[in-house]
Amino acid sequence: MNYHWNWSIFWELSPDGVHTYFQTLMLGTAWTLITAACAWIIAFALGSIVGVLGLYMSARVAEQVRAGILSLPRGQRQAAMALGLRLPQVYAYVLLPMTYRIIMPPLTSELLNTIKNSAVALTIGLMELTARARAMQEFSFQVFEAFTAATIIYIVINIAVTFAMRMLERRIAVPGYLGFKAPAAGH
Amino acid sequence: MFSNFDFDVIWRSLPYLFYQGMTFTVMLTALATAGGIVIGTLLALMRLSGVPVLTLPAAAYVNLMRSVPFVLMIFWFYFLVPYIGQWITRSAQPLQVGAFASCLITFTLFEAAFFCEIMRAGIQSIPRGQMAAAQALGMTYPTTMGYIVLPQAFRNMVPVLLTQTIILFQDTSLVYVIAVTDFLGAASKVAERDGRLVEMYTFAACVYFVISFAASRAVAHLQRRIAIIR
Repeated sequence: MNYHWNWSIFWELSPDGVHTYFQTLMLGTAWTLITAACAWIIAFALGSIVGVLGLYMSARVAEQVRAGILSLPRGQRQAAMALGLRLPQVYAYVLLPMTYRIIMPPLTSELLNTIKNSAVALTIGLMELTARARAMQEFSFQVFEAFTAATIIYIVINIAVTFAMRMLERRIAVPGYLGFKAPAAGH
Repeated sequence: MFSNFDFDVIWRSLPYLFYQGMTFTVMLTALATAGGIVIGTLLALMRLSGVPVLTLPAAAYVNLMRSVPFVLMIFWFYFLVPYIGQWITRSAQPLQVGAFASCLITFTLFEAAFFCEIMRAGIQSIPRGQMAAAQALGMTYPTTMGYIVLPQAFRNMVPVLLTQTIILFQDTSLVYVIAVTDFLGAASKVAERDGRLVEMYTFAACVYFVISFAASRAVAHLQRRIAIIR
């Protein structure tokens, strides 16, 4: 292979004249995380509403909230009704608190998917991590260094999110409930 | 809104969209699914083999593929494949690989990681007693896998495998980033040439929706049938 390796490329100035390539990649990481966080929060809020309304929509979070509610024993709803709670109260105080604790693991993988899928936003010009790596490759011709850096950053983010969520899951796990099976296909 | 919606541009570009674009999309989906299932099954067997030399590389590969965005992987392979080809053939310059071959290699290898996880779940869904029974009959490991475990694992996982194929079909539109003309690429070319963005993208969205929705309905139907038999 006669490829010219140059790992110090990250500390050279990028064509914007202000940041080094390393800083542009970091800016891209920030955009990736911001996009993913916003998207996940919106999906979470919207998915909860849609899932509770029971509309048959295949938005992924909605499906999971719906599956979570369905996985609860029917007796819980009936018991809550028998105690005289109204329907909104049944959902707010009985069903949803349980549901969120049960569906947390699949929602974690959904957050990871959102982070990865934010890379597609480069097609409409958002300068997130993958786009920055591509820009760096186009300006400096250091293909492999740029993509290696982006790959490592994605893996680090993934490991960090997985680790944090596993801690959270252990705290909020409902005693006596086994893991809730998420649909297996996906990206 | 529909007052200046130009249906004629869709009508005029139909042959181009379907002969050039859809052929590419469908061919890529079919070949990548076939290759991905074969490699994915091998990876799943490696992960379940219990031999660390096989387990660790397979697990590392699957986790790497699953934690990196697909778009980044497309770029990686687009730039990497010529160099690997050069290394294998020992030629002086990087090997010229066509866009289709590059896409096909990327999709096959990337999807293999996802098919691996599906097949792993499928193989694990077969009761261990069957394995023990087959070995008690004197069958070797390959015979047991080939005649007893894998056929049932495939059958159990057919709905999930097909769902993954539908996702793959939608993902083929990402080849747009390396300037390959698939169905969406063809639509966007016409859209930009004729300045008819709304029409072409709406039409492309409808086509993708109809195909994916019909396919997922069919999968749900199939799933119900398999569930009754089991």
